Amino acid sequence: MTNDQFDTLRMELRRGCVPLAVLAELRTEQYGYTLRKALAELGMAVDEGTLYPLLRRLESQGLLASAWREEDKRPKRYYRLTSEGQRIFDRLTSEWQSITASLETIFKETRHGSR
Amino acid sequence: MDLVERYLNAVRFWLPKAQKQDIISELSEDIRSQIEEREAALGRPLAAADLEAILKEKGSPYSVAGRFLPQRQLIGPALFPMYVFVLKIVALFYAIPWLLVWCALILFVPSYRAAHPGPALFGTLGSLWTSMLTTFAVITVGFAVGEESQRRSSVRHAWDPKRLPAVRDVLKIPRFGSAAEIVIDLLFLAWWLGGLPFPLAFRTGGAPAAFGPVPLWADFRAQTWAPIALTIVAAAALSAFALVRPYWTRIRLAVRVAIDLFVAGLILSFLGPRATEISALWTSVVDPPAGAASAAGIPAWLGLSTALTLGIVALICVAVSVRNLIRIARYETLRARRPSALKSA
Repeated sequence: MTNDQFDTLRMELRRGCVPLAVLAELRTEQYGYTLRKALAELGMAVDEGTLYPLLRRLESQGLLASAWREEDKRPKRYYRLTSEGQRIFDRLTSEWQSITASLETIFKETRHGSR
Repeated sequence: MDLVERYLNAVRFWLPKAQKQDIISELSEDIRSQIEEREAALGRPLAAADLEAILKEKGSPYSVAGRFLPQRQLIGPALFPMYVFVLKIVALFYAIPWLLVWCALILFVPSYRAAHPGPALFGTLGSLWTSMLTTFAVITVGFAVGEESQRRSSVRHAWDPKRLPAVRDVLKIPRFGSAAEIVIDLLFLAWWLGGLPFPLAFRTGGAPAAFGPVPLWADFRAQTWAPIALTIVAAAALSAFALVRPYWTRIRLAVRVAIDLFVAGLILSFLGPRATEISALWTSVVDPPAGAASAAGIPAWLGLSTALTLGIVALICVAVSVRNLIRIARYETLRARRPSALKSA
């Protein structure tokens, strides 16, 4: 497998996880740049071309709420999870745990050649 | 900072009107925060090259703006394979035959070349180009409309598995086809051997006028009488065998290829040396001498029709042979795809 193929598959794998990570981080109110930095420090780097459109989509779906506030004489848009967002986040977390548990079982079976 | 303004302005151009200001403010804040952080890390203001590097990392204004736009596609993945299939069918049954006829006219008809000297010869392709472009546009628009209506409706969920077509067995020889081939072969053989009257006879001005054999046809018949008769017998025997065992085997496919290529070879070896004669027939039909009576052109027309018919028969034989050679090469794959094989798999 070439590096390009690996990168494509890796990107596809991570793409589905980004909304979950964003929802998790926005349990605490943050603006775009600090959110991006926080995600990168936690090992989930997301470029702004992906993050900002995603924030808008989640907001239009009612999972996030945003407000412009001035800070250091510059307008900043702060995002936070709504109650609907919290409900969806809880369900997605359960789904995530179920997926990782299934994958762990599949990996173990493959390792032991039990199939 | 001028560079950042220019960058944001370029992004703004592609954004949806209602969201322009909102998105630009947010992007601007992100870039400025990043610049401040970098300056703090370096302990100095950023040089132009540093700024360029930051903007380059973000991507071109067009691609950045594109991510904020709704995802659109003219023809989606569900319809795209069907779209390509239709384009291939049009190319196969319209563009390629058109090009073959054009090549044949250039190669074998000197009068056609003379009428379109030099670059004018390629100018004759203009009508093909126009019609292909129009066809391509009409098909594309048709599929785009189909995509849009499919997106709005629930048609994609309305299909019925019971209405799926049966799996076609390409190695099966339909008995009806074999029986029809035998009848046609025997009728042709009877006519070829002289047992049936020559069919070329028609009326002019109400009076029946029977024409004798066309010279070109008479020559062909005289030259190939015995081999064609034997070939027809062989083809009829193969069809009769197929009535009992209605499946292609490699050997029977090879026999069929041999028969078809033999017929094509006979026709082409007959027509090849007569290219000049056929070209003269074409000229007298397409561009008859001034003042000639319309009935005077009939023998030339019949001769040309005979040549064209023989040419088409040769082409069909070659095309069928190519298809059968492909079947021989892929025989094991085709066998594995037969419905009986699929059931036992």
